[in-house]
Amino acid sequence: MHTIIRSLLFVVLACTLTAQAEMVKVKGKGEIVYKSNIFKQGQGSDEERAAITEAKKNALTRYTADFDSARFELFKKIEPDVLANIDQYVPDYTQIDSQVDKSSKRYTVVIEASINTTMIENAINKSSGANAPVAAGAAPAKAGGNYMTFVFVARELASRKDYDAKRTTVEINESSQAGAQKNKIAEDAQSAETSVDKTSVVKQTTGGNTETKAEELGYRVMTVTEVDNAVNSVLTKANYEVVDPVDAGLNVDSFKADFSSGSDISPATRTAAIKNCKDKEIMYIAIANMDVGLSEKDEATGLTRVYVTVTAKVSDLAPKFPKTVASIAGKPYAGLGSNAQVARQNALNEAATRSASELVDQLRMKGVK
Amino acid sequence: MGICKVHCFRRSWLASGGLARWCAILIISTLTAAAESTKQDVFFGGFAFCGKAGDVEKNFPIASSLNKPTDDGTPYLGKVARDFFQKNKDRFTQMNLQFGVARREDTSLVLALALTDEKVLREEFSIFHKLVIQLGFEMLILNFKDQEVVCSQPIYIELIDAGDESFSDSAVGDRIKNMISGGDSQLFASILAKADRIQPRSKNQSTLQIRQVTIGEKALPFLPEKLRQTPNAYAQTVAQQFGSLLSSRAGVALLPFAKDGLNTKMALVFSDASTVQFKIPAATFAVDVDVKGFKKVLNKSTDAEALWIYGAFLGIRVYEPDFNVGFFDAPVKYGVSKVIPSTQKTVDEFPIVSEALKGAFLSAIDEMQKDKKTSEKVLKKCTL
Repeated sequence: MHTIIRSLLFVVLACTLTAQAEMVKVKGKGEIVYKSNIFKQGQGSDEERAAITEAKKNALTRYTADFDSARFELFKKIEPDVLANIDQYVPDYTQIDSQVDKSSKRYTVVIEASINTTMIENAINKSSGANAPVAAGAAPAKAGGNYMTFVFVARELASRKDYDAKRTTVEINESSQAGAQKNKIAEDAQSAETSVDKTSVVKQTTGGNTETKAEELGYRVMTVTEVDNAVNSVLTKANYEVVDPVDAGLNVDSFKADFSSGSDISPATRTAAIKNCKDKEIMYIAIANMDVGLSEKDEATGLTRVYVTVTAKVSDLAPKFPKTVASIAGKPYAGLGSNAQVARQNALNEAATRSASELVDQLRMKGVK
Repeated sequence: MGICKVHCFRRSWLASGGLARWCAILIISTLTAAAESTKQDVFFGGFAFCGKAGDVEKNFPIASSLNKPTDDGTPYLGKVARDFFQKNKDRFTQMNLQFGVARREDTSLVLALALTDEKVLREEFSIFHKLVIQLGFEMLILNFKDQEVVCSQPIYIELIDAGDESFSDSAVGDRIKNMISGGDSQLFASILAKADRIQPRSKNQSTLQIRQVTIGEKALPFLPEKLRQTPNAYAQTVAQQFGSLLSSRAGVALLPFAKDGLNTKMALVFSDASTVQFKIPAATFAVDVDVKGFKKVLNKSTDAEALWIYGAFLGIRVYEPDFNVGFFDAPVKYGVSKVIPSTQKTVDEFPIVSEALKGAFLSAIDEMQKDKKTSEKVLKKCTL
């Protein structure tokens, strides 16, 4: 009876664990050259198992090929461990096809592998976490972790002043005349006839320049609670000690004022922010502006689509002069919704989550913890 | 003495296998209860039109015109679909079909009935007017959490009618209404025929998708003018028809056919006007259908009549799309005979070649099932 109960508990536990793990199906192909003269399929031989292992590794490679560069670099660090324990990361598979080429003694197998992406995420987090070995050349992690604060402001176009092109025209007119006079005297020398052939040439040269003055853009700037929550969630999950910008003593209004007319913060705002952070021993500051585009119709669904373009920078304040340790330059993220407001909110949430994740990947790659 | 008797009884009861029987009953009832509880909760999501919200009236002009609000405010097609599923809830034996508003923690699986194709072909012959209505539906199980199509069961229904006068839009509307929700609803009969197979596919189950349909030059002369002008629209019908037969005959888990082949998104406009876009996941296996053409041959002729053989020629390819591993690649042909009286001046050939095509589809599915490689390596893995 105890055995049955134990078995049932094991099944329940297994089901729970399976339910929590996120699996992604990816196909993979494995090929081995067999040594024996006779190769029989379906015997569960070492060679068949080796081909399956190769196929699992191939599926993993195909899955990680979609990672962005920073994430891929992080994965590279844990790749040897993942490959060594491939059966844990790819716990399940369906064999799609297998072929034996007797002439070249090759056994090929195609599988559809179920990759445990949660486990890969955990491995990446662990490798770049507080106890992880620091990459060569990277700054070592400090005991107790480092504080980080962030200011993510969203802005949308409020006004746009276009200037007419100013055209300056210069015109030079030149004229010249050329001619020949012919005198004709009669044979009796009593009369003479004079005729003049004239050619007049008018030359006109026009030129000048057109001066186009850059448009003046005015933005409506706001901080969005959902964006702050999304960024906070990503940074906290990545084990960063996040400090609210208000608690960090940052004047968020001055950031908003700077972003209302330009794409960068003023030296005064920056100096004040750095000073405040250093005083409070906050070692990292992330500043991002999120440009909300105009709504448009998505042709595929008929829904409203809004693009949000993110420009972000994380500065390390520990050195004498702050240095940029992660950045995103004008990356667009799209959001769909039944109306412009929903689409805008979805786009902001998507942009906040994904840009924060990308910054975290870049920080981890550099060993910033 | 009494105690001794009890002991003796217990020993003999144990010896006679009573405990074993009880254990067996207990295990069976536990397993039955477990099987019942393993059936997944699926919420009914309603009726939807497939495609962009702005294109509903263009793509489904008659069906969308029927979808007017009823007395309780629910659009007509949404209401009849809901009434049907509620009434026949128990026929869907592979899932716990639920109604009402799903809470976030309940389930992310939703069953929706989507109209994917509406074709109305009106033709005028010398002495009569002909009407062909073709409707394609998908019974979709959708995962709202991942915004993904889990699996689908294609349903294809057709009505051919003839009359002395041309068919007005309202006459066509009445017929479509009958096909969907009338007393002898073709749609609901087809759904009930497949009800016990409609279920969420398990995690490890492979999927099959009709990926590409090509219509050959030699097929075009036999098609009505409207389809001849838009072979892609005919390709959609072919995919729907073949998918419907394949799922019925082989009982496989299918993914919806994407019109442009590479499109992996499916937008659904639900009756309440909400639009949701779902991702069609990559299928494990793909099927390409090549309708090479139709042909007619005079078999026998007398003064009174002529016997014509109409043939449909197909190419069917089943393969794994990522590594291009082929499993089945064979030409299939099927012929139907038609006796035409010599007094009949005009012959409507489309229904005849459609019948030949259906025969070719069934032959192809039969061949696929007979082929050991396809059966073992593809169909068995996709069987629901």
